[in-house]
Amino acid sequence: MLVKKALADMAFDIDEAEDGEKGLAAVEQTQPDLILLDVTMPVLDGPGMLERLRSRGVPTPVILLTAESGTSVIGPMLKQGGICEYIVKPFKPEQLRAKVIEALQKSGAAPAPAAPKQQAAGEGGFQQVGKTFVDVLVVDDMDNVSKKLKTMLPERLTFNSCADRGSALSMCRERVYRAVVLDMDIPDVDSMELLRELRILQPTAAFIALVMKAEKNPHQLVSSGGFAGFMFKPFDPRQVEEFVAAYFESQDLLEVDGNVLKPAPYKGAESASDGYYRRLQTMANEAAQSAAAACHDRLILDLSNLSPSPKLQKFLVRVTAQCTEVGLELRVVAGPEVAKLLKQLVETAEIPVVETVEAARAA
Amino acid sequence: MPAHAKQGGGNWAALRAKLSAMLLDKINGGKLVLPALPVTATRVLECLEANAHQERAAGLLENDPVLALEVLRLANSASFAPRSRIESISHAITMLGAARLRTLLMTASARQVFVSRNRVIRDMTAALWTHSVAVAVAARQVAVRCAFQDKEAPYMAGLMHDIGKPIVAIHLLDLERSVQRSVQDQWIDPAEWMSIIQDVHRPVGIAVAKHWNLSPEVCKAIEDCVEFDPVERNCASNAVRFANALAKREGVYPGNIDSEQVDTVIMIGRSMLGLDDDAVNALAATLRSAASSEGGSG
Repeated sequence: MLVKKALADMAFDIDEAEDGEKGLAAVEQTQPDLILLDVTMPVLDGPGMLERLRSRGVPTPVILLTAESGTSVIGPMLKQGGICEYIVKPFKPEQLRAKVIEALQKSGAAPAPAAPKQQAAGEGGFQQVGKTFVDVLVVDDMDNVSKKLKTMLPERLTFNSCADRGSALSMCRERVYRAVVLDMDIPDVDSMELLRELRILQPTAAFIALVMKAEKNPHQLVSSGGFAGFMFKPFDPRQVEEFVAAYFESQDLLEVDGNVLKPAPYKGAESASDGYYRRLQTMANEAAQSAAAACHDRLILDLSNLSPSPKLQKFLVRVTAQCTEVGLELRVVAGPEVAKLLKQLVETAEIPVVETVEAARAA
Repeated sequence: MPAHAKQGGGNWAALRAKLSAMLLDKINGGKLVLPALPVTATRVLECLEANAHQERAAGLLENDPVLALEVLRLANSASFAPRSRIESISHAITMLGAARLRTLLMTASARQVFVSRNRVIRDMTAALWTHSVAVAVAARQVAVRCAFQDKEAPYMAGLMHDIGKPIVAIHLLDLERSVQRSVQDQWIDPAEWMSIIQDVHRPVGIAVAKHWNLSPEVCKAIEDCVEFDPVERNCASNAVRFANALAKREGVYPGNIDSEQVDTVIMIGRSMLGLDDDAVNALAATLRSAASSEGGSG
């Protein structure tokens, strides 16, 4: 009963059985994605039910949910296999919810933690391996908020919205989102707890806090809550533009031609360029690994689109480290200002800087 | 550690049973000589108990250069970050406070128990000390993460949870030398040797903790850390049990381990203490770091 109550608003189909025999029958009948199993039960106890399940070849993952904490009892059950988690009673509902979602993800019954590399255009997203990929989910109790944001986003972006916690969880279990915009003031909802739950369901999504302009310290909210960023209500067109640039233009972020990498220019405000460099870093690291795997002996980084800045300097330090790690020599194509920037740090001072890609190839 | 020699399974079992019984007789009969607290530590602790003037404690510590250096080192460490270098023991005591000084004295005293001049067990006891320090540091981290009221009891219990082992090892060596002449002229297999210690060390550790006047919480934690307490979850024994399993999983332990049992204990402990994967990984890193610095120091 407690379990059903704790999971009530997560839109699962839940069957209950009061002993192991009835549990076995229910498993046979409904073939569940997950079993929550107690140890002490009448007729047939948890270890007995687990043994019979496994001997019948039923591989369904099991979460042990029990007051039993003795290793002599739990240990042999773990040896039977397929125990993905253990929760000791009494438990907190949020702990149970998190473990259930995690177990379903691991078993493939919920969205797996892998982001789509390319997005397709079109309303409602597209299907891949049984899951729908969608660009943006807005969670806000006021319909007008999502309607307004939709009008400000490029038409090519796919878009979902919902107004309550249950719908948000349900949608996040069924689809894969690239960005989730979460209102921090939904009546009767602890937005931080909802964030934690959604993050488990959407491990690769960027979470953006939606706050009123009166919010005194949105940056603090972002850093303490683990958000990727924030947007004010009412929407500021420039902020929306930066949001789009940061999360939906990454496919054009880095042009890769064999061992030559050319980052696209950053169009947003300098203060909001963290996300740009973070994504650029990930892509550059992957490209360096691919170049090393293809037996190139050098990586050519064409920075002609970028202006010198401390963030660029940090980026170059990390690319240098990555090249050293995978055994590549790094050469940079850039103007005198970037060359000067490189000379300022010990880590990058020795990197050869030339004016053209051809010169970098020839050197 | 005794060199390995071949011996029949039946003889091993008989020898093991005989040695275990002899050790348990000694322990239960109160005949096992327990190490005393070093004199300076005892006197300083008496001063602290009596709330005596700290100059008296400082005077005692100044006469023990090793302890004095430890006190100064801790007071000047990053944990306390003094504005200027602390040069006097009295100033250091003020900086540390009575609770930290007590922990420091107990740590220094416990370390001596793990130092053996006997080449047969020297490496084992040194590795056990590294293990104990790592468990203590991780148990204190558990206490901090889980907001325990008392964060020093888990540390002290972690440090002392295996203190019975080096003591049993010494006595076992003596017994082995007396028994082996009548059984066979060979050493016990190292794995069997550790198993005997594992079987009988707990009551010795508890006896040492009581002998050293450690708090009832610490004594109870050493006694209870063989199973989790499902009622009082945020207790020192649960922190020590979890940290001990984590140390074994991370390879910070000198004996053989049952990896399935270790994984079971970690799984139960995570739920019992409400720790998520990030917290467990952070604890494992802390533990490895503590073991590495302790092992490196020596």
